[in-house]
Order: sequence, then C-alpha cells, then structure tokens
Amino acid sequence: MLKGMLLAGVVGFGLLFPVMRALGHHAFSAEFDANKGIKLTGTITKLEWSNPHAWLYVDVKDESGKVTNWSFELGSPNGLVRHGWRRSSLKEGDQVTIEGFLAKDGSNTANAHSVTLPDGRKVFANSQGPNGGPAK
Amino acid sequence: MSHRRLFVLFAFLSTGAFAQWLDFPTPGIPRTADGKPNLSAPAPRTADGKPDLSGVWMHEISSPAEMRRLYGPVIDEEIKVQVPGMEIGTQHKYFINILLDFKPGESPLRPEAAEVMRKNAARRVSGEPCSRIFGFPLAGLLSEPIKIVQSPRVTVVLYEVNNQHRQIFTDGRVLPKEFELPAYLGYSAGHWERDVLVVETAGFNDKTAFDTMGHPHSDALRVTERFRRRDFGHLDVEMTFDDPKMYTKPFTIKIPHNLLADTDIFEMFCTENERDAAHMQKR
Repeated sequence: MLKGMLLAGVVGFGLLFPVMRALGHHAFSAEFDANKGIKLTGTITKLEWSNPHAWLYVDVKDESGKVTNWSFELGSPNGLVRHGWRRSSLKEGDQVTIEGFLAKDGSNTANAHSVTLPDGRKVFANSQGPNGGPAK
Repeated sequence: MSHRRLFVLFAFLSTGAFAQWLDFPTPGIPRTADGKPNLSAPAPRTADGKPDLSGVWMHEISSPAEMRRLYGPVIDEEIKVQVPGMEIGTQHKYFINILLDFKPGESPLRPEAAEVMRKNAARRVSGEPCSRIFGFPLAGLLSEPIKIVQSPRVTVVLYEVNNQHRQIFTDGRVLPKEFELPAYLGYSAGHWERDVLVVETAGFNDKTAFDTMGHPHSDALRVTERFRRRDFGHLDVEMTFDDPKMYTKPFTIKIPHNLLADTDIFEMFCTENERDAAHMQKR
C-alpha cells in the first residue's frame, strides 16, 4: 500500500516536469527561443495566408547591403481575422518592423510577436473579443 | 417588420462588409434594446420541446494569469514566444493537463499508463505540430470555437480546429458492444434527461492523448457528457472519462461555454501548410 502510494507520488510529481515540452500544438517555446529576441525591418516579399499558421516573408538588408529573406510565423488566419486583421492588412512591398523570437534550428526563421508599420501603427491590435470571438 | 428594423437590416446589407460572415448578425436571436444579443434570455427550444443547443460556442477561456498560477513559470516563456490568435489566454486550462485537479500522489493514472505516456513522449518530436488529429476533448479546448447543430435525431458537433466533427445520435440507438471502426472521436448516442442532454461515447481508438502533456487513453475509454444550456448565452458541459485500463477511477471535468453570437466557425485544415515540424527540435 505504502509502495503503491510512493509510486503514485513519484509518477504524479514527475509528470509535472514535461509540461514545457508538452504544450503541444501551441508549444511555441519548443520551436522558438524566448532568450533570443530579434527586431528586424524589411520589405514584405510574400504573405502565405494559410492554416495552421500564416507566414510572412521579408527581405531584410544588413549594414553591408546584403539582403536575406526571413520567414516569420503568425497565428492561423482564423485567429488573426478574429483579432481584426485582414488579408489586405499586409501586402508585398510593404515596409514592416517585426519583433519576435528566433527559431531554435538556426534558420532565418522567427515567430512574429508584433508587426509595426512605418508610421508606428501596430498591425496586431491584440483585440480578440473577451470570449474568443472576433474583435468588435 | 418595423421601420426601424427594416432600416437596420438595409444598413447592414448595404455595407456589404461582413468580412466573410465573421460578424454576420445571427438571424432570429433575442436582442437587447441596443441590438446586442441577449445572453441572459431563456434557452431556446426546438419544435419538439427540447432545449436547443445549437450555436457557435467557445469554451470558457483560462486567462494568462490563471495559466501562470496553475502551470508555473513555463507559461511566461510560452507567452513570450506566442503568436497572435493562439496566445496563452485563448485556450482552456485542461488542454495542457486534464488531471489538473488532482493533487500529486492522488492521480488516477495507472503506472502502466504512465509508462505509455513516457514512451509516447520519447517518440514524439517535442511540441506537437498541427499535422496530427486532435482527439477528445482536446479538439474543443484550444484556440478555436465549436459549433453545435441540433436536429431531432442527430446533433452534430463541428470543431473548427482541423475541420473535425462528430455526430451525437438521439434516435434511440444504443452503442454497440464491438466497434469495427475505432474512431478518433468515438461514437456517440444521447438522450434527454429533462433539460440535460446526456451523451455516451465509446469506440475510441487509442491514437490520441487527452491533453498536450500526453495523458493517454485506451480503446476501452467511455465518456459521459452532460450538456445543459443554462440560458441563451451559456452552455454547461460536464465530461466524465472512464478508462479502467489506464485510470484507476473515472474523473470529471467541467467546461462552461459561452455563446459566440453573430459569428461562425471557419475551415481550418492543419495539413494545408504545416511547417512547424521542420523547425522543431527532436528529443
């Protein structure tokens, strides 16, 4: 009886640890490094408006003038639209500044935590309705 | 129709700006004087006198503060790297751990099941890209709403996430003893007990976990749900999970849902453009 209880105790406690790895579909920390924040400015080359995540591609020029194309992961179009975002919100050729976190695999990939236009307006108003419905 | 209502109707139609039905006013629902849905109105009834559960429903949302309190600092890290539309604060707390309410040492998880869980976790890439099928109840606990469409002999639950659905038959049939085609979401038969729809589900396969921690279930799982539409805007859902192969006793979770009036669910196929798997780190 005691051994069973001890085993249950160990099992119960041990299972709390994998929560970080186990956040599943929305475990962005498994893919992106919360310690490697980046902020890049560039020109949009493409918007992939698809599920499960929309992707934004941006040409970023470094100090030497070299241009690299970066991939930024967004939420699903369904979720973005409920935040007040529209397909026309960002177009090829638009200048944007993106803040996010680098992918852990070392590629030119990051998630897009916020997207700001040249006039300072943020594209993501984070205005999802209180019950999860569309922004009003 | 009054002149005022006609005017409002024409105003809506003339804007043509319903953003593809994202904000289309649901016809025929009770509204307050300012035109907003009256969420405290009595629950509607169908022609055969039963409560009508139809509607677009969103589970009660667990706030980032509550998630932090329940799951600790790992939530802070998740919040840092989240993307709009799928933030912490759009899901229900049980999506991570369905056994959340059990104190350590009191978990009903059998040791054999814990072993299955460890093996599954080792095999999986860390995290779970949206290319998998979402089982029960996880499909209804994420960032996406559900839609219930009730008709006299069958009620359909549509899950926005991954375009999944299940049927709840209310035509008097009982669940078979054997299932030739074990299913991700099982087979459901329901009956009314006064104003509560009681649903039994069995015939599950064993290919999904209850939550993202990976709590497994066997094909012996049987689920009992109780649906009660408290008033127009609120649906109480209680789910009891009974899987004697994996758990020492049945356990119950309660998930209140709020009506999302004047909007809809949309298509969402995870396989359309899944790219996370390529970036995720394997164990």
